[in-house]
Amino acid sequence: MPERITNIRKGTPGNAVHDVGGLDFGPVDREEHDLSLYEKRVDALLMLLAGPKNSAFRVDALRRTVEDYAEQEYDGTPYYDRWIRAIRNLLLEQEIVTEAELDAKIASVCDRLEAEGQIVSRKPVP
Amino acid sequence: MSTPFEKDIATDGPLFSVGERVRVDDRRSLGHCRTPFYLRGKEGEVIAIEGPFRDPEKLAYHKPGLPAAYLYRVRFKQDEMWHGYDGSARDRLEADLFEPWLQKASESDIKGGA
Repeated sequence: MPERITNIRKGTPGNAVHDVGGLDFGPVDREEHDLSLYEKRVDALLMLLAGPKNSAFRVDALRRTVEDYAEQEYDGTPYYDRWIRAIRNLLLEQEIVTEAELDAKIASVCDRLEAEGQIVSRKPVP
Repeated sequence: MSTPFEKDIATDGPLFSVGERVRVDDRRSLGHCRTPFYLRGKEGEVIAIEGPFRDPEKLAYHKPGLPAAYLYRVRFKQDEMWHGYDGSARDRLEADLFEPWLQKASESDIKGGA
């Protein structure tokens, strides 16, 4: 995470962690990378959930949820991680899945990956 | 739970026309909002009417987003936007803004030669 003048946003009106246009964050990082499988999956999940067929929520709700993050969390979270966390929060908010169902599924996936010999983090994701 | 997309949204016509000078409201948003802070209170020219869209400020909270709001493309002068702007005086910035955030620029707002 690049060093940033984060306290500058405390002076801006409203709760707008994302609205940084014109603030001094140094040069724009123009480096591109190929999308990982994980990133493509997050994107696909969003398209399926927000598309006209399922309409679980609109992309506007995703933006609102991402922009509700506290400053530190917003800055410290990679782009697609913000998306998948917001998708999770919206699935709970819209009562499409319950927290218990989500926890159970995550635990079972962790168990399976560990059985395959992978190292798994069980730290709760904010 | 089906939310229709950008079809069949009836509205009155747009309030502003292409070429008209408008001022962005300098107010706080009470919730989700797509109008950036750096444009609030700034004056620009409508260069396109993008059409009516469901209101993102309502869609963000799972509401239908109606009545729909007109979206405009507004052009601003960069050197009126930033203190100490050292780029060309001809530099412009274009932003898509919803009608509830725009007012007609009053005569007294319009600077000579702007």
